[in-house]
Amino acid sequence: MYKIYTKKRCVPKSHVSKLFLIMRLTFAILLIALMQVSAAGLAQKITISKTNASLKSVLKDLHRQSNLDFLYTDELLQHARSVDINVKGEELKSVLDHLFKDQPLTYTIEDRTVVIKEKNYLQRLKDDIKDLVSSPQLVTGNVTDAHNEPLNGATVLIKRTHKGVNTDVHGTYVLVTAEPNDTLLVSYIGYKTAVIPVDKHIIINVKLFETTSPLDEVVIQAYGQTTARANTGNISHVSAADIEKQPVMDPILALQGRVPGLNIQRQSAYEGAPAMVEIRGRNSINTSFTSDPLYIIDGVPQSSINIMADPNRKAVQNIPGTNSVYSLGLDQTSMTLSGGQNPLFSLNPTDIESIDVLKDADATAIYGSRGANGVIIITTKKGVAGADQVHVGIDQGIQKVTRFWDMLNTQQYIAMRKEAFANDKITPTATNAADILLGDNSRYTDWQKYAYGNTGTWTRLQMALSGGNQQATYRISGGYNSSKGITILSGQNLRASVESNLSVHSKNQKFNLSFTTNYSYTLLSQVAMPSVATQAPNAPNLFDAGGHLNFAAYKTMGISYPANDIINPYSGKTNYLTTNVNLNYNIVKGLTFRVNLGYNTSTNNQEKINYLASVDPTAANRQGSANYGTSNNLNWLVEPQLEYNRLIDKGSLDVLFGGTDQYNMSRALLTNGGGYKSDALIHSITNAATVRSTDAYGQYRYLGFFGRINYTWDNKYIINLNGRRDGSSRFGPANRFGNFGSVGLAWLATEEKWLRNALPKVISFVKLRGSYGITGSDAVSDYAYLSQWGNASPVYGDYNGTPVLISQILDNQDFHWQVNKKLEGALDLAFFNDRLSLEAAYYRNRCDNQLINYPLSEITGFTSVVANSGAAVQNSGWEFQANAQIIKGKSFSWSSNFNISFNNNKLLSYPNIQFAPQYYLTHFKVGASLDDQYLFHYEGIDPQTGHYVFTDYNHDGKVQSNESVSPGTGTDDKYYVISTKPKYQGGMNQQFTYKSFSLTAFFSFVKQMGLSAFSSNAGSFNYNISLEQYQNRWTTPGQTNATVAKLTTNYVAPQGTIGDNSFSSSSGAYVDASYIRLQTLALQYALPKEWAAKLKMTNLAINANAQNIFVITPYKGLDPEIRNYPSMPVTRTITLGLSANF
Amino acid sequence: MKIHYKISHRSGWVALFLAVLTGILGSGCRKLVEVDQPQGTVTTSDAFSTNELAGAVIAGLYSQLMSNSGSLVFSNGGITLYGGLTADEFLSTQGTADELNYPFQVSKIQATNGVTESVMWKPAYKLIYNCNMAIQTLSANESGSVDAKSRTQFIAEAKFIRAFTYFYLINLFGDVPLVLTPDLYQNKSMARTSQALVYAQIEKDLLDAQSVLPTANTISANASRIRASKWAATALLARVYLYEKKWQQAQDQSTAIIGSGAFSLVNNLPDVFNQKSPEAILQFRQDSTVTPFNGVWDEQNIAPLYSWDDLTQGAGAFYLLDVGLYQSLAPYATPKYYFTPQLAAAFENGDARFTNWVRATPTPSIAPYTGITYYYPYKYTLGFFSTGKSPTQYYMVMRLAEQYLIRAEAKAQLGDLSGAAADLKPLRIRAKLGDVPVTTQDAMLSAVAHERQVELFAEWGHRLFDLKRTGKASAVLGAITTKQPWDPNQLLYPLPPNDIVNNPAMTQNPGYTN
Repeated sequence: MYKIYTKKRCVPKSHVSKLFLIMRLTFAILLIALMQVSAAGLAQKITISKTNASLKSVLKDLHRQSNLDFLYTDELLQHARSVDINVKGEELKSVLDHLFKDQPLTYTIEDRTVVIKEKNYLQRLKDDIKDLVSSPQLVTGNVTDAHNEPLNGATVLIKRTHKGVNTDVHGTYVLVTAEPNDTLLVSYIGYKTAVIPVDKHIIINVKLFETTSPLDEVVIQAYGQTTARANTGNISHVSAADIEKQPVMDPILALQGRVPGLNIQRQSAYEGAPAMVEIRGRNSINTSFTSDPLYIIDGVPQSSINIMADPNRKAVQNIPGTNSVYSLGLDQTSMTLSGGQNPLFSLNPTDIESIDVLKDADATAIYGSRGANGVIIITTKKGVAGADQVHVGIDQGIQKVTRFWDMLNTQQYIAMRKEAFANDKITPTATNAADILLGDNSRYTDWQKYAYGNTGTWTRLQMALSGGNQQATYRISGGYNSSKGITILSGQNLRASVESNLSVHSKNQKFNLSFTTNYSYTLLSQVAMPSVATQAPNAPNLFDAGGHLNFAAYKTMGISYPANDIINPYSGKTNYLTTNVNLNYNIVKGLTFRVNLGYNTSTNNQEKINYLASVDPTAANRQGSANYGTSNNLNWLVEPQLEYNRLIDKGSLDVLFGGTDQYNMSRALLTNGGGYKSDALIHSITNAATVRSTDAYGQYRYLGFFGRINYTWDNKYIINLNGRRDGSSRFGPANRFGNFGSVGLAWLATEEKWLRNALPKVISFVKLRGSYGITGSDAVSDYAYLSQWGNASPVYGDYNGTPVLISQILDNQDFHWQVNKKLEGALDLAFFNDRLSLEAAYYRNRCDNQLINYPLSEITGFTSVVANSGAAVQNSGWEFQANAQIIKGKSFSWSSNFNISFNNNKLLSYPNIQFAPQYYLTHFKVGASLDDQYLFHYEGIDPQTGHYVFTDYNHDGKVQSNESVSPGTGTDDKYYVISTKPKYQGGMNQQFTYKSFSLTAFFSFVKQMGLSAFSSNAGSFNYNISLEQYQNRWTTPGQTNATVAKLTTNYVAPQGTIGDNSFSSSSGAYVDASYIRLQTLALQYALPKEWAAKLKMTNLAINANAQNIFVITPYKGLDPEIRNYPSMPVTRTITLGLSANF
Repeated sequence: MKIHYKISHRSGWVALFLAVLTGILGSGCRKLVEVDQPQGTVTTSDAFSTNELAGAVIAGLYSQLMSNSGSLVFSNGGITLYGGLTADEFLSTQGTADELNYPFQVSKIQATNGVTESVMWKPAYKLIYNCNMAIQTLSANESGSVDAKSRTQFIAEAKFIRAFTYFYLINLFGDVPLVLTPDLYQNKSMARTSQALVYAQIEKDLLDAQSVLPTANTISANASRIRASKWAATALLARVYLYEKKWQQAQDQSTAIIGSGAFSLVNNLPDVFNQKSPEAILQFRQDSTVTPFNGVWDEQNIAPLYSWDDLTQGAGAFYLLDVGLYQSLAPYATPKYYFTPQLAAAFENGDARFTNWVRATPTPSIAPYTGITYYYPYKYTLGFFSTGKSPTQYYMVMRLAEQYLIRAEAKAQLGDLSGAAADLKPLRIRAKLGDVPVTTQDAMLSAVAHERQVELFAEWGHRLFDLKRTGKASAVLGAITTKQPWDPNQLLYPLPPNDIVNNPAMTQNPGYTN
């Protein structure tokens, strides 16, 4: 290592000099500001005669004779040539002209002062190039945007030669090889290319306007920007406009259905709930690795270590019905009722400028060992130069559950239970049938509506100030977003956030500093409700007449009180801060040094008090308890970079080198106080009779060196090379560093004349691109390479008063990255002047060197060790996207876009899978998908007995499960395969504008299978069922149309076999859970300008936004997305708002 | 000049940038990727860095032997129970309902029965890993901050515990892999080592331990007999030589202990198992105040919650007349495991050990009961779940009585029959029994075997190991009706199937299928 970098430093000196000589000319230009020559004349008569005199002495004479002041510095005159002069009674002006004719200096006369200065750069340039070029035309000028802001790095090409230059930080360019009748092509990323004839002009200033073609929209790539036209990789861009229209608090939810290949499954309908995010399928067989991509927020990675304060719980949770896991995020104490807290919940969606999803090797390889699962770059809004602007937005709305399911009423419930008893040949008694014999059977409560029938409220307030000039721009915004969800009894979910961005340029534009701070406070209030939703319809009120929990009434019915936690709400408060400083220094034209400094911290404080009042007063040893959780997460990052770009011949070269140093710390502390005897004292841990605390701590350090070389030849051929060398603290000293890289190629076919001429005119753009590369994953737990001693889990007793240390894990110094080899090929097409664009991409990702817990012979002292497995997982699939501006009229326009993606996951190989850890052996098969579930095959209901019938796959006379063999082998009959991952998914957006109206409708769709909401046995104590189940139950021998087994109070399967209660692990319980959801509907009306003007506003608009309007699905249950009935369903949010700009 | 200046100016930037990068990636590069040590645990290099921490690792060995995080393990009662079931000591009162343990009683163990893995194989090798780590790290730590005296003692203790563990492994499983280092790559595919070689290593470890351990281990207060000492190593060495039929060495080692004067037989039998019993050579400290439970499993595993006599307060006969009444008490007074008829009958009339160390729960003679009496061991008297109190008894690992029996047997084997009888005498006097007649060598050996059966019953699987090492196991156990059809392969326990799957070099014991 040492050697490599020493060598690099020692580039032979001759090369260095050559490089800089070539650049000398342009460098000189950089140093001098453009000035105007003053041409004032004066009439003094001068007489002077000198030979070989210093300019200074002559100027002194002139001063005496003319009585004018001469302003200069000695330093300035150092390079002056000596002069010969012999004049008599000449005018001062002509004397001066003569004197300065061959000097590197010039003069101006201002008032009564002659100012001596360096020669105007244009004049000097002309002098300089006189010898270099024989018959050139010099063309120079500035390139600016519509607001006259200089564009640094714009390309100015001569159309004839396809050669040209880039502008400098002032937007200035100098072309020395133009001919008088040449045409210039001036282009800049995100702007329309300008075509300008030279027409013998010397100074040509160019103003560029932003593009309207979606192909030229700026998308954010790793450490830079690009466009769909110029990109060699696969990046999907979601802009602020799409995000703002959705009344969601969590920005990740705004991405659902919008990005092909991105699968987002939220884990509950609570605000802030974590989501499983998967880009192009699951790569790891290790079921403790999440599929989370790398999140970069304003250049700072949002990493957290999955630790868990409670040693009995895991920081990652399995998603029922899959082999995938999700992280509990900021909730590293496992206290939330939503199953975790998404770190991105702390970001205000209305502060986000864009979210870019990087998928293939070309786009992600520069992130090296962290890019295996893809990268999501979130960029917040920045100030733009121009008039100061104030934006105010107010939205107010309501939330409701979209649909309920018909459950049995009291009469039906009683009949249902009686039938179950009759089927079981059991006589209902006060002990076994208290729910129907001891309750008040005139009561009826629709518990589903009781739990989820409330109306929630939704509020969003937003205010932003922005503006600035050439030197500085700023944006400060404050946001407040609150939702009082349908189950919240007290408190609310809220986020208050402040985002500020300040960007400062030095006067010469060479130095630029951008400072962004994002602070937010979030509060989550949650109450657990699901257990009430399925209880008997005649169950008593939850509260008695005095407003206390109704323990007594439930006791008489023999039901244990189901809702103790209804008065024990959970609250989680998060303080979140992300700060980012970006320093840019333009060393010389084309060469920029940049440092990105980032700091990100979050602190999550949680509280859940279990009041004494929530404990049955008659219970023995009645006591209250209090739980407090704290999760901290801290990241810092330093990324120095050096970027060089210039045009070489017909091509444009962009070279980037940089380094990353990242540190992450996570800490979690969980404190349980117990034995409280009074609710008055319960809010202080001091008063707890017993206190138990557990904590966890982890550190992660990451170091990388990266480079990218991008070369575009003649706007036709693009090659993009990425390389990265990474070090991660998660590996043993010998395996810390690894190399990653990619190559991306693109061919803009329509730039070829022969093809352009051959293709019909309607085809405006054809591009072929492909990439191949290697990324990695270091998502293994921290310190796994280190042998450790401790006594935490499990706890061993002290010995003779001496605390003990026991070896905790078997260390393996030799494991290293999991490697993901990504291949992609894509075709981009555009028609009708880019108004219709299509993209089709095929990818194939192969992930090997899988990091797993490798099973060991116990003679090693342990049952497993972290090691790389030879198993390989492949994800392959297709992604399609279409954008169309269907109608683009003056008053009416209609644009539309559509995307769909298919992913196919496959366990390609697993050497010696028969020796694999039991979980892998019993869940995975070579050649099958990691997402496959192995189930009993459901045949139907036995018309005679009313029991479910499952296929006896191995014909051994018994249908049974064996959890220690590969499914469907040996005595195991679970051979039927179902995957609950989407077969395909996507979205469709329609946007209409008519005069001042705009309407957006966004549909998302998923084709998938899912566990039926009604798969549990019907007939058991205090468990209500749906009317649907009831009506389709088996009742009489010989009945053939039943879909639900005969009712039973307590079904026990015959020993060694499975029975009705295994229905949920059979194919019968898995149903089509596909859906099309009208996810967003947004209507906006901008009031006439005159009205707004009267209110001193530049514009004023009224919006109506709605999320989750309706869902079309064959799925029977509350919602096809959150399927684990009866947990809280997805709600519909409808808001009405005003937005004004001053 | 100007041009030159510019070059140096620009290359200055480049140099600065490269310097930053090389700074990060060059000299400091490896360091920069390092993070602080984990906080909830200490690394191996730290764990052996001070007397205190290294002492905690060694204390951890005893904790694994005795507490094992609150679960049953070979060394805190596992061998007593399963050894007793496999031999002719115990029967389960639950019969076939005791799904996991019943197969031991009828000698129909399957390889998939997880008990041999979870109670014996896995914790034993975990312990061996800890010992190996301690021995290797402390031996290499020549200039470390653990002082030489402690280091020597810690290494010796780890060697003793390693030898102790291997002794039980080979007696339970036969040939076992002889793992002597913590090296993953060396160990993960290790094959089984012959018992003879394992015994050689045990001897070596014990001789090493014996040579450096103090006669009383005073590494911490009150520790003299609850951590390995020179005498503990000697006692185990005597037993190992006996098992290896090295009679003279066995006699020498046991003589060293008996002659040392450090130990004496406790005449009052109920006091034998007390803490600091003069008879104790090695005890494991049980501590009912420590969580998780750190106590003698023999009581939890075998004894009932209350003794019949305590429960009925002398009115036992009354309860035996009414099945209903009996049923109300039975769950509290019935032991989980009780003596086989063979063991109950083995005691001579008037043996004080039967009256002091054995308790009984009667059953009614009315159907469904058969009038059988459940005898169970009562060497440990503290009762079930005696939490919170400082216990008066510790878990006896090795005691003087065994040394007399070892020497008696060694002498008998060497032809010194009267010497053998003399060594049995103190035990028989304590048991209120008369002398053993000196006749033939066979008779004397039988007398020693009998004495071992009734002295060491329900202790550490002595009965099973004695039957096995003397070659009488099949004759004695094969004659028991409930163990029919008799399969001598059952005398070695099955290896965990997973270990055979995960380690191609491993083989299963004969008679078992994975």
